[in-house]
Amino acid sequence: MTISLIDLDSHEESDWCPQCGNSGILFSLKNAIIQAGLDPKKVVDVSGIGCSSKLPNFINVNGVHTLHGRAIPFAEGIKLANPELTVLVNAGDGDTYGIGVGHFISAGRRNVDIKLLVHNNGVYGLTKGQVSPTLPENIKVKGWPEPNINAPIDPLSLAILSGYTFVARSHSYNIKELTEIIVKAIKHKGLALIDILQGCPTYNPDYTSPSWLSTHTHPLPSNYDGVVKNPNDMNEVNEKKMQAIKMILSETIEDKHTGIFFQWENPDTFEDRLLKRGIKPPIDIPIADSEGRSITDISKIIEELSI
Amino acid sequence: MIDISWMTGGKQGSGIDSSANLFSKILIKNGYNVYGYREYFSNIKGRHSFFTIRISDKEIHSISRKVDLAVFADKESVFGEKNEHGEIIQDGHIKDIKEGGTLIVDKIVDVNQIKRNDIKVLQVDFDQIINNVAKRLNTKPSEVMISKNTAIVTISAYMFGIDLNIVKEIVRKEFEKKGESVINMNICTVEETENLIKNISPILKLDPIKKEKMLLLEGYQASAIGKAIGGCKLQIYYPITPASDESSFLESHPELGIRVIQPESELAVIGMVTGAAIAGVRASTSTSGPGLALMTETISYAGMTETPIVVVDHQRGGPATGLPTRTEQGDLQFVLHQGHGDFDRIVIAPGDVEETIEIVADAFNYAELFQLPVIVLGEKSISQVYKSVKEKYIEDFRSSYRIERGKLTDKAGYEGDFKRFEFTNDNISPRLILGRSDHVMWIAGDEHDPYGHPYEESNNRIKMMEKRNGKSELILKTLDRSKKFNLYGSPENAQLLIVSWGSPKGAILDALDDRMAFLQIKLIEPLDSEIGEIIKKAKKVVCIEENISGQLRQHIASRTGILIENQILKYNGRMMNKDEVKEALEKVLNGEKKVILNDY
Repeated sequence: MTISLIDLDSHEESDWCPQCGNSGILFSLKNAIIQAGLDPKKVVDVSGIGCSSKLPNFINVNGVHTLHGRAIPFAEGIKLANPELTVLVNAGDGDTYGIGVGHFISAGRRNVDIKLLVHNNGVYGLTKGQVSPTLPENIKVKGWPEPNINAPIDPLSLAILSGYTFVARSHSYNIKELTEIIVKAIKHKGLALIDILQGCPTYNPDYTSPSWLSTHTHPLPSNYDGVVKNPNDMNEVNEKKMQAIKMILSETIEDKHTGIFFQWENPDTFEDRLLKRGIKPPIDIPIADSEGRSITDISKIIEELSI
Repeated sequence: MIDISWMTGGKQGSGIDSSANLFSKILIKNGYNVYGYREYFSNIKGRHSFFTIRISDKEIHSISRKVDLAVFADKESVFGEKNEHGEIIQDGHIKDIKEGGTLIVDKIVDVNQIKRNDIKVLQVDFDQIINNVAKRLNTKPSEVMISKNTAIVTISAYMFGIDLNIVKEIVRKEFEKKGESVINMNICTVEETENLIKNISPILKLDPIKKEKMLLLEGYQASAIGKAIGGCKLQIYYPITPASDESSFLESHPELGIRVIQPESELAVIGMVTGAAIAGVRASTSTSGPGLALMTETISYAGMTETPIVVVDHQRGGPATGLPTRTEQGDLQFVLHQGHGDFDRIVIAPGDVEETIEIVADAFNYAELFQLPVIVLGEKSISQVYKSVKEKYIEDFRSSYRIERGKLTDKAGYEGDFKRFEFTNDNISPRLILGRSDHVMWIAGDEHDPYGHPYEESNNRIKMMEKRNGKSELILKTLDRSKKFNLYGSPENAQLLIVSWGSPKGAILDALDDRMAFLQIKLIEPLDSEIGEIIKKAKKVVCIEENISGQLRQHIASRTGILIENQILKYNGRMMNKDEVKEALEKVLNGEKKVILNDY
């Protein structure tokens, strides 16, 4: 089946601000779905709340627009129910690294095969520009009266230490690179984070404009390779993690890298672990016969409790 | 009719639970019905817990206030304990023995301090039993200390005149998985106990009676069985007393094909459940008040997105952490209003272990037929009740139950975008199984158009609000009367109509007489208008609940305009027993308007 960009348009018109980075992310995602050869009906885009999270409405794949901070558990529930679906999460930095940070960390323990596209713009856009968890300390943004009093969270290191098996960064105006990374994340077997530095022309224009992002980010050095070569070699896995974290720690707000910081194919996903216990995906287990009678086998329970 | 009660107690972690479990099985094997209940502290080891079993050859539904026989191997169970401030931690069980009853204590207990001339006090040297067993097995007494519980069971069975060969048979079955040496140790204990007590005369003789096949079933197991029959395929939970037992029971039965997952928080739990339900599978969780409170925002989301989820709340004492191991019906008003904004929901409450199976299984049908959150209100005093249940009851229910998935489909049946929230005559729209149809589907927690896209237009808002809040009529029309309430006796002829919900059912049934009628409400929300009609017919009405504020009474008032005049309430965290309910009903008949219970 071949699909084109038009097939991926929903009937909804995007209502993001002109030059909003979300449009670049949406366009890259559509490209990536085509390049990865996905069937849109088998793709579910789960979002949280905020400008970022309107995205599912503007793309012709299944869309579940959830609650602030909860996109990850919804996505995990969908994937657990039906692993044949490609499950994406589009959510903001406040959503993922603030109110939902517990889910963000804990998802790493399970390596659920879902893909996080985090729209990271340093502000809460839809509530008019409050500071977000990724905004560096002492930075003042347009929508908030005082400079940021909190230090920022470091999502990439956090993801690596939490157990994510694919960790990358890109920015919303670099369509080519972002598309490539999304394709790779989709093809990766396991939990993926793409932290996308996203332009917010309205509330954080100084630090997220197209020109800022293109002059203050550059691809990881050509000699940097984040991909684990021997997935069973835990020394190599740990070295690659250290390498990524060192690279992240060497960065400044004015000098950030884009690309794949860490990628480890092969460890068991949560689905693999469940299948090893012999419990099939829920969607594949019939629950009733043709007349609606329950067919779940409770005979062992009855036998066990019988006196 | 045989109607006797028994009690044991001891330090938590010392095996009191297994004594009671074992003894229940022995009684059931002899053909008797049992009704057992455990009271314990929020503690793992050392605090006092006790177990009551009521035994009868007839159907019984509750525990009694006092027991005919109590057997304790420790001092604290007899005399109670105080803390360093001199406050009572627990006041012992001397008072809990019926007049003419028997109390069996260890040799270390100073029987002169018991000070009750109306009961028989016997002493057994538990250490000697242990020493004899150790000697026979050529091991140290500390190695066989755990079988003190078997000694308690043996003494109890002996005192009730039960053939000790049946005790041995059940012991063998019970310890089968633990291997021959454990079986042997326990059989030796039965024999050494018998040797030591054979000169004591039993207090009665419980002859074996023929009985159909029975199970020993706890309420949490009933809830799990209901989920299995109901086709639940994902159980997501976060540890909380007294709900976790259900999830652990499900996980120990992989043959059910239910994925049991424990994520990081209740927020994650309810998100996963709702996600899975959107994907088209039957998913559920079990929790208690504090966990349910954390799930609130997503319950509202399920209401907004008309997503079928089933949540079982095994209620415990609140507010806050409250009484984690004690019972209460304190969450009713909370679940009726849980979640911001207005949306229809179903709240149902089983009154006993058997009803739990049926109501939990039905909950999955209701959720999908009416596309809304369904909250099942369980209670600690159901989920941790041990009860003899006819195997046939479960078989009959299972074969009569039909899975009904409502408007879940894999075909839209039309071109163009799928309308997940299409306006329909019955306010229920088609749902797709994600990824299994020729359409994509959108869901949004924002107000949305029929396609599921955020939409703020005012006419659409009115229609959507009316859709989500317009399901009650359909629910009440669809459900049989027997699913909504049970009515015992004749409300128009009775001197007193009792109205209640949940676990008080048992004590009420056992306290009921010809002067009274009893209305047990199962479907609490939406509330059938017939409830109001029944109440209006009665001469005098009392509402019985295990909470301080009369939450069902408030709900009935808000739905029918009728404020029930009399109340019997209990809020000390302990289960209602038949005797205190009987006394309280008498008081209400004699004109008291409000009776507060405080047994155990």
